[in-house]
Amino acid sequence: MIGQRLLRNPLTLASVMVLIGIHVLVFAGPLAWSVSPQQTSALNALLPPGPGHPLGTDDLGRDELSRLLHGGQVTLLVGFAAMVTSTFLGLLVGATAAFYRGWLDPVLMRLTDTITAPAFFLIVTAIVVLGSGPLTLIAVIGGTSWMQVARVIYGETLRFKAQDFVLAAEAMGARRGAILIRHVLPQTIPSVVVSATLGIGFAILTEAAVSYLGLGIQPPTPSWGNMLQNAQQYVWTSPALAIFPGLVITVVVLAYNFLGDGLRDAVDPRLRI
Amino acid sequence: MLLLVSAITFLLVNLAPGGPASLMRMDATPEQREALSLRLGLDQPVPVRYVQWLGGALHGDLGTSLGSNEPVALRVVQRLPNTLLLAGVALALSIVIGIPMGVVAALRRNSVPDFLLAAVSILGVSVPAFWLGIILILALSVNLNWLPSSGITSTAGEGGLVDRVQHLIMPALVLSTTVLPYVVRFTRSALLEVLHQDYVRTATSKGLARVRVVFGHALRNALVPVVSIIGTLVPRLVGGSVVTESVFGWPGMGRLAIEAANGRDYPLIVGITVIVASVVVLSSLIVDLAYTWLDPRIRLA
Amino acid sequence: MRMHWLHWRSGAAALAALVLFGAGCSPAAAPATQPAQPTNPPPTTAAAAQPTAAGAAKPTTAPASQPTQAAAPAQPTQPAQAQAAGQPQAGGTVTTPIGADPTMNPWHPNAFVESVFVNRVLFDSLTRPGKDLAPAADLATSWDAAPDGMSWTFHLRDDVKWSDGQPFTADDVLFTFNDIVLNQALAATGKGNFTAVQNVEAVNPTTVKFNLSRPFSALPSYLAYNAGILPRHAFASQDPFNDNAFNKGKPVSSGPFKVESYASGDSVVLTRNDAYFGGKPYLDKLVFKVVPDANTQIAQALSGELSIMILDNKAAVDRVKSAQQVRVEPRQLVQYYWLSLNQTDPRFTDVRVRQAFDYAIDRQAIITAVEKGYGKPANSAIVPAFTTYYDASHDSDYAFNPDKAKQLLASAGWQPGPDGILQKDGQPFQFTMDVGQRGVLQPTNELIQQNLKAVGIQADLNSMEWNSYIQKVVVNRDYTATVNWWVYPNDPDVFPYFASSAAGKGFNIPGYKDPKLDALLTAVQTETDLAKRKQDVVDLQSYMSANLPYVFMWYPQELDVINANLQGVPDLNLRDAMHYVQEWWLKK
Repeated sequence: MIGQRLLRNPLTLASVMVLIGIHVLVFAGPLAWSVSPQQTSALNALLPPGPGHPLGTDDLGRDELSRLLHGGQVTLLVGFAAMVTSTFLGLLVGATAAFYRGWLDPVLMRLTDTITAPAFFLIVTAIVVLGSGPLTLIAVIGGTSWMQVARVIYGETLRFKAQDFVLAAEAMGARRGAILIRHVLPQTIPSVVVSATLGIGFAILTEAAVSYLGLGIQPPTPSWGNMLQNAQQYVWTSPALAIFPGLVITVVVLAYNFLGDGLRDAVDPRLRI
Repeated sequence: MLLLVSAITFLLVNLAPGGPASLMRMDATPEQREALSLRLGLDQPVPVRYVQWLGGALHGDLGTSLGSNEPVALRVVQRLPNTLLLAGVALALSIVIGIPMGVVAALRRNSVPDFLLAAVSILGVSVPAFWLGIILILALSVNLNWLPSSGITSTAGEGGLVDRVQHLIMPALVLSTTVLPYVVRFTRSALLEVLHQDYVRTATSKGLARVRVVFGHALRNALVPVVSIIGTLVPRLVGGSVVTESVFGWPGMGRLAIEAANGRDYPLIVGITVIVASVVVLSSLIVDLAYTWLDPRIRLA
Repeated sequence: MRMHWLHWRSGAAALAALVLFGAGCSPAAAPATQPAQPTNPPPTTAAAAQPTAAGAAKPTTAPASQPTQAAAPAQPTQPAQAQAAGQPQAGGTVTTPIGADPTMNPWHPNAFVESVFVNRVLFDSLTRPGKDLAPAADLATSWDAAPDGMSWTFHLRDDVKWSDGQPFTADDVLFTFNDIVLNQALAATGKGNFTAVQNVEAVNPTTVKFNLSRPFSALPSYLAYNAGILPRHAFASQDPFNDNAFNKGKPVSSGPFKVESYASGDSVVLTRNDAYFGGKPYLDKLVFKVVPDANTQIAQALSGELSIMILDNKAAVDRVKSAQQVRVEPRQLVQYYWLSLNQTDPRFTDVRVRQAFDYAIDRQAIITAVEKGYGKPANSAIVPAFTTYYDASHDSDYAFNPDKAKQLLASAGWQPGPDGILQKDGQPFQFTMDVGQRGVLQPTNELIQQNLKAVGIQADLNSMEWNSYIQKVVVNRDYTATVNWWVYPNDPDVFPYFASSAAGKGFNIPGYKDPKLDALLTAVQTETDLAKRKQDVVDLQSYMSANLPYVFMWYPQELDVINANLQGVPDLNLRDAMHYVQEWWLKK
């Protein structure tokens, strides 16, 4: 039923198609377009689109299309992994706080609030401490963006906790933990999916922002974020270098956001207007 | 809670490889580094240093910044108002622009203005903020020379109100795009929900002008959840200010934090984190109170 | 079917906006003819005409009586107005960017990078960089070395006043050196340059004597390098590095401009010191504005908010050159980039291997890519800016030649392995290069990596944030190969960077030890006869080029972006040019 509603919305449909298209391009594309993303050629620096380089070359003469594809792999994977991490953490914290209440509840939720603000500062500090590889990035982004998910799950868990089927299960003697996992959590899956979808967009933007500060994926490995950072110097003479990664980030994040919004509306009957 | 945050941050930064920028220079000799370490008190173990810092902090002394030798509290106080100004104006902009947008979108739902507004607001949250910032600088400062491209005033103190406003516009706009979509979206859905309630339908069916209904009754009730949303926007603004301040050279806390992190200015990093966390907790407290005041049906738990 | 607000139309609108956005971002065919923004108010008094002895008050010095003095006489610096367009006009404000808040104390451990510009204006030194880079008179009018070379005597001016009215005396020099620079506990910045100084004594109120532990020909040049003199009376018994009223507020200074106001994170405003001993400066104010982002600096230079700056982002040079309201001037620097191959790694101790690296790396291509051509391949540590000493005969050494590189590697025992990577004794030629994220190091390393790959050497890159990089590579010497640069004072004495005694903990980063090189370095360091010293430096260059203690990369140039109205700036890199701000003037 949800799927039906979803697919009736042309915009969400378009987003899904765009996303599938981009992911296929990014992960399968290099098999077809096998130019190296790392091969430099100082003589061919900053070329406009032309033969051999459909999107031109960057400041060191590397093929821009190839870098965009390989960079996409890194960015999308990091985004996805960070989202999984944050969703898992958010689920853990939110559901536990809501279901078990007691002293856990205020403690966990206060923690959620407190970490939210200095989140970016914590990211910067953590990367400086732990170094800037992709694993650190995933852990750090995931570790600082679970709060939104936690709040949503918290609300949802509270809502479902009070419902009849839960009371019935308790009356039948089921253990609390089992109730949580087998009955309540599955009800929250739609919200989780929505949060997750929106979370990927956020993770991608955070990777870009962190790379802008020089703390993200390190060159020469391309990522959309660090390509954007590198292109900053060339906005005066070759703004195209900044446009391609920026455009592609925007399109992907836009698509994920549309998809997430569409999912949310398909899932939540109150907002179906 | 603040205690926990401060302890974690202190530990974290002191574990970082490298050291204060004044030691980590190509042209410093080992003797210089040692002497400097001693002067800065870095020869003592981390827990001892934390306890010392804590002792001072409880008396209001947040330590001395390694990068500038001034008290941490002073450095933060110098920059905090700038960030608050920027975030405040950005928040105000997003409310002033976003609520009307949301109202229009709700009233004209599923028509062209609705779609346009949706598009613009989602775009705002999808474009990397620093990219937007740089493009704006290029367009408005360099090519058109309409607006200054960085800083708070033209030359120290010289600028009057107009000058300050000119410097504030672009960064505030860029920063507000990070939260505008939420305001729009939430206002729209909150208003729509209210409009479908029985009492509204009753009022319209009784013949009251729609406008009167909307502005007189519905909007006020719709705004209540919107206020609660504002509370969650503040942290977002604070986080977004880091990048915006970098692009526009805005002398605020965000930039200070980056400088502090890069220069391993331990006391400053911890000081900033603690203060920022406090500010956010304070603001969400204020929002909670406002919420209660607006809707007497709610009682603080 | 209910229409949803997220209808396809809104999506289309979004995409349309995006496309328009993208189109709008295409290279702005910007009208280069922006009217130059007036950064200064109209002249208040036309009668301010010619300031007396403007800048020409640098006296000629009589060379000391001994004929074999290395004390180059101070140039009677011609005020720049002789060459500038028109007569200097008084008035106006010049704004220049700095990256962060300065610390206004040249010896403070935090006073490096941005503070240098401000401190060179505020505080005079015994000598200043001459326009030919030889040391010129500043607070000292003349100087000479003792016959045994173990001390230098400086004769000081007697007409200098501090900004609080107190007179400058020899005692201030003693305070600066004995109490601050040579004080081990204070860890003053730059004290490493004065390790040969034992103490400074006052012969009389206008004469000081530097007593040395070994001959030190370069002392006068080193005294012109971020070595400002501080007033004793301003510090009383305070710890000079904790005196924030001075360092971060309003210092007592002697230079042509003094601090008027300091706004943290924003700017430092200096105002003219009418009592400056070198004559009244033309400008009213000098503002150091905090602008950390390189692109923003460029935007501000183009819009007129900044009057003079260093173009850090050389990629923008064409765009900046095409703008009428600014001019771009290349400047010589005392700086060279190098690749350090750690000599504790046995692979690199063979000089043929180091030479192979030099041949394999296309340095001219790197200069073109990262410096936009503003630089020259380097084959020694002596820079072309030292017109007296530089030997151009080595300019074409190690021209890019991958085949020669392969030959040299083969002769050193490296044979191509099955995967194309060179091998010796079953070990592949593979290592990691640590890259510090600053300036042009990242793209440089990426280019080098590809050059090395082409001759069968696999260099993996490990990019690190600068602070961690320094700790790993410089403090701990835990690295195999790395690229970096040295900047040093205006003198060919490069002993600290190459001597065997400086390996390990000192500035000899590769740890190269060679007694022949030591002898050459010592000769340059101690020789007082100019002609003999010149020959020593020539020999030093030849030896360096042949033996490559570091693999020398290139000498960069600095690009200064100067507003068309700003005149009187000498042909020196901006840091050195700061010693001449009293000669700068603005054309109305």
